Amino acid sequence: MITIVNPAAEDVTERLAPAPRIASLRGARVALIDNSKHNADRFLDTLAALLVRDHGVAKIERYRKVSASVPTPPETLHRLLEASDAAVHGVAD
Amino acid sequence: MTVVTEAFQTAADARAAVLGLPEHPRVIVEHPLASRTPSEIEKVAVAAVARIAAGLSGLAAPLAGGSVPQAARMSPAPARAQRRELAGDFAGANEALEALVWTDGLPVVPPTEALVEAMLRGATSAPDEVLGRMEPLQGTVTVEKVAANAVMAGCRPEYFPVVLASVRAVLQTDFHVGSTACTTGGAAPVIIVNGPIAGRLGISGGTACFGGNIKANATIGRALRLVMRNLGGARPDGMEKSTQAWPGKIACCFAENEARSPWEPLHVERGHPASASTVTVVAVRGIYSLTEGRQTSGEGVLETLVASMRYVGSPIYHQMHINALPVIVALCPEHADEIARAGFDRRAVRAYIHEHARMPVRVLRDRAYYAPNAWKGLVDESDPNAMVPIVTSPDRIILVVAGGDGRHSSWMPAWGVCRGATEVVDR
Repeated sequence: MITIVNPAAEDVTERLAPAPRIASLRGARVALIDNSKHNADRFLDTLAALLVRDHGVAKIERYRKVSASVPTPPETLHRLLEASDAAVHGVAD
Repeated sequence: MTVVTEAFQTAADARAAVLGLPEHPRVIVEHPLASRTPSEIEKVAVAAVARIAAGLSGLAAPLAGGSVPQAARMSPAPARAQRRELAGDFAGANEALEALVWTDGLPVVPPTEALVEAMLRGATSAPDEVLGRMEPLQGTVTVEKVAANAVMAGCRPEYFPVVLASVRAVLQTDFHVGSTACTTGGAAPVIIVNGPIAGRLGISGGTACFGGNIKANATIGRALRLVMRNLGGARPDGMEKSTQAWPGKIACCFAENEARSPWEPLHVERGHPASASTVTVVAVRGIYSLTEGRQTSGEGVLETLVASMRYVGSPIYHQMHINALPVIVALCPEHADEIARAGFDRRAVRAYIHEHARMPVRVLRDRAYYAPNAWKGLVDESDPNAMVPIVTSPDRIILVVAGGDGRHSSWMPAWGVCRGATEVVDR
């Protein structure tokens, strides 16, 4: 038997509740964050059109990241938070 | 809510969990979107829209487990690392450490309390000093945790200040260490050591210096990678998503060969005293080697070097301006001598490379990671013959002399958004 020093993370994150959902998309403002990967814009173009046409979304706010590998800047997130009721972002290629 | 392509589901799950949001709504779509036709993309979006709308506008049921807070209340990691009993001898302990997924697949030295204590005596920092949090899974990086990983990597205690400086470097914001784990682009850190500590510790900048087989080089590089793995989650069953990667994901550390350089060393060029020791760490996509065995004029060597750097498949040409990416150029001593004899100092070499390692817009357009307006403010894209430089300015070229006898040099393009970082090694 040997005693070792744990080399790995011991951080424990408390489980959080996701942000409350909105009751309905009808009349809502939705932010779409484009991660800038190839074709993300096309995917979001279609999504935006369908959210407006079929789900009654009133306004779409778009933001395109400078690179998929950097976080959306906090000031941009705050701006989107002010300008929208719900947000969608994408991960991966 | 988040839209995730299938291949990144595990990484997205791990990231949601560490943010405390395991229930965060996610919609999984087919992977990859990047290579599909416009009509295929449209089909994927049409198929996903109902699920996305549902994720935005209502949770099906309240969360289990009663009231769950909405604001983060992180319980801090313990100041000192947990102690753990492992059964068995060296081999048994290794099996146990492997089962805990705390190794890189190679045998490790079990980080016993005595060995970690000895490692900690190699530096002056207190064991409970917090250096930061290692992205992407945000483990708290204490000096003691780094010491445990350095023991596992096989470091001697006297190497510890170099390991700590390397860890501090990758924790700098513009290094973007979290993304280096999650990218498909095969980013792995290269540690360049400058100053007298390299000679004292036997960190080699000579024969085969990139290739391991040298204790200090191999174990210091490996210690940094184990820290990224065990505290940041950079492992292939976790956040690591490299399509292929390269062996720098195990270890890559070398010294500048200052004794055989015709110029002042890198750290002196950057304003540090010659008596200081530094580490410069950059996440790169790999080591691109070039041979020049016939040209000996200096100019001839430089011509071959820049020709090898006009490389259509390297996205550095498309990405260098996003975060002022650097490129490492490592000249072997024979090439460096000839270039210096032709009258080039370091500044002139960097200026030459910046002037000539360029490719025309027409060649780069629609290749690699091209996107319209890729070089806004830097190159006039409407001119197909406008030349795009490999980096934004000569000072983004990290020039070092490295290697032993022979006529082989190399260059290493920084990955994606990694600006690289330098730290002074504490004595």
